Amino acid sequence: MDAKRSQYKKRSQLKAIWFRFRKNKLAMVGLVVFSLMILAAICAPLLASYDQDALMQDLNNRLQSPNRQHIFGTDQYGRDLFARIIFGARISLFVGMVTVLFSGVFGSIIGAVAGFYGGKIDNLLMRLMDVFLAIPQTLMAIAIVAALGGGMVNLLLALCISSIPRFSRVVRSAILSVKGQEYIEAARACATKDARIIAKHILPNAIGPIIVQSTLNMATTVLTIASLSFIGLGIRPPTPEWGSMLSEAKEQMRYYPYLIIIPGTAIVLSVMGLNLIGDGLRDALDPRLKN
Amino acid sequence: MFKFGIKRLLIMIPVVIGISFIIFSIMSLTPGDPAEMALGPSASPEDKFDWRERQGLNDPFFTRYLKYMSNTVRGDFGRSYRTERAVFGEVCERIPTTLTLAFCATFVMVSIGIPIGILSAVKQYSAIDVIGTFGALLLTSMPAFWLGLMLILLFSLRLDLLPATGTDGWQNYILPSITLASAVMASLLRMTRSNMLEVIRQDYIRTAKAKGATPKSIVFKHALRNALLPLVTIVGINFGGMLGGALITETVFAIPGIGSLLVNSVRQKDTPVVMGCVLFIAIMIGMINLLIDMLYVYIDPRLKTQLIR
Amino acid sequence: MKRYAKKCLAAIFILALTLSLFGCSTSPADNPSGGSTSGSSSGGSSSGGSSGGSSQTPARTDLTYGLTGDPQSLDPAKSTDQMSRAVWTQMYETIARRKSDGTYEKRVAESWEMSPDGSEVTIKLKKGIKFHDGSELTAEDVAFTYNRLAEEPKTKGMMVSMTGSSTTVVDPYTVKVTLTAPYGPIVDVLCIEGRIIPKAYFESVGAEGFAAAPVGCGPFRFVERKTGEKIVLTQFEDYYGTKPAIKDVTFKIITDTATAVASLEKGELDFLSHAPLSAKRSIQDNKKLSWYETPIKGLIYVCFRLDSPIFQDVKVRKAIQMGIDKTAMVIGGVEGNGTPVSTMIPESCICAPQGFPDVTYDLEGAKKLLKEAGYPAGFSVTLYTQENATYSKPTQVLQGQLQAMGINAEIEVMERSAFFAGQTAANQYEIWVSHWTAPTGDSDFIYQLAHSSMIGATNTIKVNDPALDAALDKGRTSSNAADRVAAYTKACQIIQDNAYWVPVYTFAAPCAANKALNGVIPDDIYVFYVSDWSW
Repeated sequence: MDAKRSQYKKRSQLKAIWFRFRKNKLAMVGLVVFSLMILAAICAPLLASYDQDALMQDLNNRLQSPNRQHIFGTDQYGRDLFARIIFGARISLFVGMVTVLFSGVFGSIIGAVAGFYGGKIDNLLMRLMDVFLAIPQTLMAIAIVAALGGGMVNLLLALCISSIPRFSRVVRSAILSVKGQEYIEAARACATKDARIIAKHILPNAIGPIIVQSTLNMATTVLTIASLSFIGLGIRPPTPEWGSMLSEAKEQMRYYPYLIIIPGTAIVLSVMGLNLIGDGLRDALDPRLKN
Repeated sequence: MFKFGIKRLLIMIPVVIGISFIIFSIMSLTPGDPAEMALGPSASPEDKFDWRERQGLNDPFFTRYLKYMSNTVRGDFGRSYRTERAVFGEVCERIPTTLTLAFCATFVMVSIGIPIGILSAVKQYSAIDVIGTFGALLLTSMPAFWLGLMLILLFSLRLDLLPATGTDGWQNYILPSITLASAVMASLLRMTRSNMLEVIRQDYIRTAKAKGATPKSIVFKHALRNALLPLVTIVGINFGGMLGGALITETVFAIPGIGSLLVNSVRQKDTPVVMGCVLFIAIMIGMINLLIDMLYVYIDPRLKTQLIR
Repeated sequence: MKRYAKKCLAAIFILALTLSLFGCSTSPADNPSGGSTSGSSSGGSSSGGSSGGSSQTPARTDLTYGLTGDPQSLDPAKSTDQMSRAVWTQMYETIARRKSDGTYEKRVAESWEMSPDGSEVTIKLKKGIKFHDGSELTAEDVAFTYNRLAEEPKTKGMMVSMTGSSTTVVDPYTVKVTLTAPYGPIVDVLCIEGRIIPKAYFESVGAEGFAAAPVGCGPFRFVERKTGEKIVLTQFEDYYGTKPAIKDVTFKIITDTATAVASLEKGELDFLSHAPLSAKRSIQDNKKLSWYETPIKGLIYVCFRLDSPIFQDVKVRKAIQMGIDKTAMVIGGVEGNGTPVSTMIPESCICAPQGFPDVTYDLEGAKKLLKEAGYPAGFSVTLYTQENATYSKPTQVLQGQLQAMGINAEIEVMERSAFFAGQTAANQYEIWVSHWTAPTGDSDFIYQLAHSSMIGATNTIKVNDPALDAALDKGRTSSNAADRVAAYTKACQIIQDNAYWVPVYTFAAPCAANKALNGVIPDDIYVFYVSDWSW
């Protein structure tokens, strides 16, 4: 009986959240946009060939404005821009998700330990996180990548390290807000094991903020990747990445503005979509915060 | 108050030490020989060894770190590998520019974010509300360098209205300020909006309305003060964030501030300059946060008791 | 009260901000840069008509010179980069200026004489030349300068011909330079690199003091410097030669080339020495600007590290040699503003081989050779390059060319000095694109790249070929032009047969300036004398 009831509770809770989310028009727009991006990324190999379109240079056909053969035109080396954009979506998504996954897991563990156990451990961990937080995210990433070199692995490392503190903060405050509640005290009075308390009571309340933070974090990650690639410290060419595409197109900006407008719009749409989803989730999870 | 300030200052110290250690470690992981970079490819191995000896680079890691920290405390931040000038001087030259830029950007952020936030709250769900929120969100989603480039393209090249680079006159700061402010404007706007909304629903506002006060006076005399108070913290935090976030903006607009110095020296693996810049930025951000907190406590007496433990 | 005031202030500022945006548009012809003092701006007013400087207003005497990088040092012995040279050229003088037609315009030197065996030069100096601090230029200063340049770690490599040399004072106005081995082009080297600094002043302020407040004997003297931002020079009243028409020079540093071009178009810069080739069209279209270019005495080429496991096989190298489409490289690398070259020595150099036949482009043949060499499925490699477009763009195109052959390449962009350091570091790069210019315009520059004695210094591919060495030695030491050409032709043949490098193209060194600026001549090593210019 108990299990069934808690199952019902969960399902209707999720449904309620989804219902509130759906009502928020902006959040739905964000969801649609982001889904398009994911769709493009997944279907990329079906729509274009990586080697032939995204990478193969064709200098006799360079700098063509959008036309029927090349929907988005070609870049300064004759590569099809459409193919590069959709494969670029793959890169951005991949890096974003991996970063959020790793930093989310590690950050949550740190935040959970700090929040739950409090006292000296909390102090120590939070001071450590403060140190990392005091270094601006872009700067930390630049330093790590500049020291270790470019490439996917170092980039991921840099992004993860700079994202962990924020996750830990969010999780810690979520846990602190729950810790003081009476039912926790009651559970403890019943001699429930710590792990069980964490798993059954605290984590479910923390999941909401974690997901919100993940979405927002992914948005900033996409921006950071683009910024790093723009400076030349991110994804290595010739791999298509929106930020490095912008960097290369800079000097052609005058006569071929589409080279700047199209990748830039891709970045803006993805980041905005994620932001809208994150905001929508935040509002949907705790309607009290909205107004 | 005083004790509060001192306590916070003391807390800042281990944070700064931690930052310096992290960045120092990261920079020492750099492969490649700074001697070769400083002296050029035709230098002989003896010259390179001598150069490294003079810079103290042949010592083990911790010795170097401790030497660096002890020098720092005495005001000696080392010398740039590239230009051999004192880091302290180079950094100090550039701080005023970045501070000016940050102030201008804060001004832009405040003068656009707050009024629109207020209007959005007062006329909730109206056109202004939706456009304002959406617009701010749009700006935040744009990479700073892209926005900067587009602004240059539009205002500088096509319309020929504003200068593109440098710091000759006050017009030079307009485009970079807008670019820098765009990233954080959304959060300020949203906070203003939600704070205003919260305040408007309060009882004393209803009382004022019942007593026949005009909507204008309600907004300006009663609601605003209480709504704006928490914003002080946000503005302060954003200002500090701008000091660090000016990196890309300064590069795009060729503004010789501490951000572009930092980016250039990181890429040239000029470790002393990197350390100097990072430390300066971290200390500045810390001091600003401290000042903001103190200001906040000063303005709102309710907090005094909370914060003094 | 506090918040009220804040709100009012905010409202006022918003108003001011919006007004200023409109205020700017009422005077688009105004030169916003604070430095200029004169009336008429470049190119006339907004009502068209691009005559520079009407007869009413006096000609400008100031100049804003755009640099795309911050000079490393104002001390001629402390760096070798082109940005520093741009500033040094105005402040310092050498014994003579070498003109493009090969003649010498004597500067500090009255005359000079080479010893019959070519290992000694005796230079007689002009009398009465003053330094910026008022002291007179004597043989002591010249000897001091040359000896210092030969010893300072950063310039030693450039002056390799002077290693172990000594410059002695014969009498107050005569010096003798004694080299350890005969070197024909020594005078050219001294003309280009031997910038005279005052001994007494240097010794009194020290190296750092000198770099902070340099003193030379050139037509412009140092006023101030803000690192990363600008360097200001003004004319030197006691200059021994003809006074320049331009009196104040401000070097503005703008690292981002796109922004630099925008600055130039806006009139904030009067001259941009390293204008990016991609801006050629927009600058030529601009009525207020002029575009200048001249072919460099140098080239872009592909290097192979000869002790790398893959590239020690000559078949692999020859395959790539065959498979590079040089026309495509020119289009992608320099927007078509270049010419493919067949040898490592451009034809414009002194005693260069002429009409050397090139390897025919054959993609299928290249793939076949690769298969023969044991790589039917190609291989993977990393192409290192630096952010400067001169290097990074051809590298990008090379990546595409390699891909067509089945070789997968990833590009890693490094910072400039890190890239150069990596060229000599052990086992770093396997294949990369590099660039070289011959500062003296003589074919002898190839010695630095190809002679086995230069391994570990400038011979970055580590080529050690006795036949090649012999040809280069002959080219360097023989005094007969025909012999030299023959020697260098032989060297180029050896290089091509072994595919040590693949020479790709030579291109134009561009610069751009305000149309009203007279006297600008493009230079293939970016050496510009502001004293030649006028408005």
